[in-house]
Amino acid sequence: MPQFSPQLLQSLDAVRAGATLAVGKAAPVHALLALLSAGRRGIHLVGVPTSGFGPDLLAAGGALDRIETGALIIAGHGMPPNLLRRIEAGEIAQIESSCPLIELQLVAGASGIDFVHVPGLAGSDLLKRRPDIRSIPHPYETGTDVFVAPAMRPDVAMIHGLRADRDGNVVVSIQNEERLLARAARHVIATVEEVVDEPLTGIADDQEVIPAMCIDALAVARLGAWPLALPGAYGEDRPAIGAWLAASTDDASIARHMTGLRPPRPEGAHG
Amino acid sequence: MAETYSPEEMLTVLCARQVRPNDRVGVGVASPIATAGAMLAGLMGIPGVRFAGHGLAKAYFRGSHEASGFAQAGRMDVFFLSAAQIDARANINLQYVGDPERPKKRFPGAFAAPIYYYVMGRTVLFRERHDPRILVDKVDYVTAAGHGTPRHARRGWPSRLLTPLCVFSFNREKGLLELESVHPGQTVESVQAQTGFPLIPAEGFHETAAPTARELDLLRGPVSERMKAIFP
Repeated sequence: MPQFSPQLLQSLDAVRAGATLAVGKAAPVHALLALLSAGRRGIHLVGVPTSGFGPDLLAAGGALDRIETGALIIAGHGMPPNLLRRIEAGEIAQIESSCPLIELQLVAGASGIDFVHVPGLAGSDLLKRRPDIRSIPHPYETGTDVFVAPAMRPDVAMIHGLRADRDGNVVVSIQNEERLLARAARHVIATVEEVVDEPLTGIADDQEVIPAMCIDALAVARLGAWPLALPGAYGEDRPAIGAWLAASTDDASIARHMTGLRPPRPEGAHG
Repeated sequence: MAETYSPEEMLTVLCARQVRPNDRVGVGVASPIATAGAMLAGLMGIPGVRFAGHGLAKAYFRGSHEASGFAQAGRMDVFFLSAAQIDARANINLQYVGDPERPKKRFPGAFAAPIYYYVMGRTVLFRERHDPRILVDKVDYVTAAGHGTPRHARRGWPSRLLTPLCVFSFNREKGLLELESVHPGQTVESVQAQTGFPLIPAEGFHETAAPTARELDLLRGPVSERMKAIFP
């Protein structure tokens, strides 16, 4: 395991047993490892919109009770093996969902409205597994019905961004849903590659800023997404992900692998 | 003499032929066949075609939520989608084979299908394999349904199912997949032997036109080059 900063470890007090924790595809791997090392259990995870390496890490560490997500997939690497094993063993309950469904629920949560109209779904078996999705009369078109789903406001969202300024505004890629997560969650824990002294200017056209008013805790974590890619900073470490998958044969094997899990030292680093 | 071609090339060409002038074309992230088909359609000079998808066009979407919004707002005319099981009523199953409560096999999940299948102008289903375990009478789990319900609006419908053996078209009135054409070398009987539901020939049933020399040249040249860069 890597070393964790006191700020990061302290911020994890917000993630209590039974808390709903939302994590995006570009998972904050360093912070999730910190969560495991702090012994957190009983987490209800929302994988936005899909669940890959980050959720697999939490599953491997036995931290998850429940997962709600649009798909179980580590992009380019197949299904997350530890998550799958524990779901199949009945140790993690799976809440059926779909990517746009989760996103619409988060938009409603981020907008302070109670529910959202969801298109599609008619005849899908998803409806049998999600009694919280209701069909109601369309309020403006007589004779038709619409499906509605409740707004989603995760207790905590954890994100990893490229950088933050001294005010706590956080720069993230637009490729994933970190900004939506941060807007919808009641409490946001962010890690960033670095904190810069200058104001945030020259934001690239594929980046955006999460306003500091959405951020409750901030800590620096270099290579905080490793071994996943951080768009705009570094690519994924394929051998490291491959080694993770190879070690994911059973709980004991992955537990052993996890103790040695840390990013490679940057070139030129000493000590 | 006619050129030889692989089943995969046939399927790619069939995907390309589903693209019409002025179509806005969507392809999922991990669909090499459909991606190659969309590229081929672009090179065939179909006018006014615009693309959204990994490797097809720079994504000016903010994440998947905004991309879904484009689809939900009716900005996708044709979408390519595959499934673990597909049945006679064009119900698709992306999730569980066997009893869904205790599945024999789990697949990654629904992704956007329970919404996209209903909002895309036309959904073109495709499968690289054609056998009775994939083309089933009734899917084990309905990720998204081929039919609608009378009281819920539906923007778009399945249009075709493309396989290495044949092309199905979706008859909306009957709510059934019908056999539009069988590929060269196949017969209704040979396709029936590999299909888990009774085949109904569509009006105008015919033999699928083999890939043309031009389609194959583009596929093996520029499309193949671009694909290597996207799916290394």
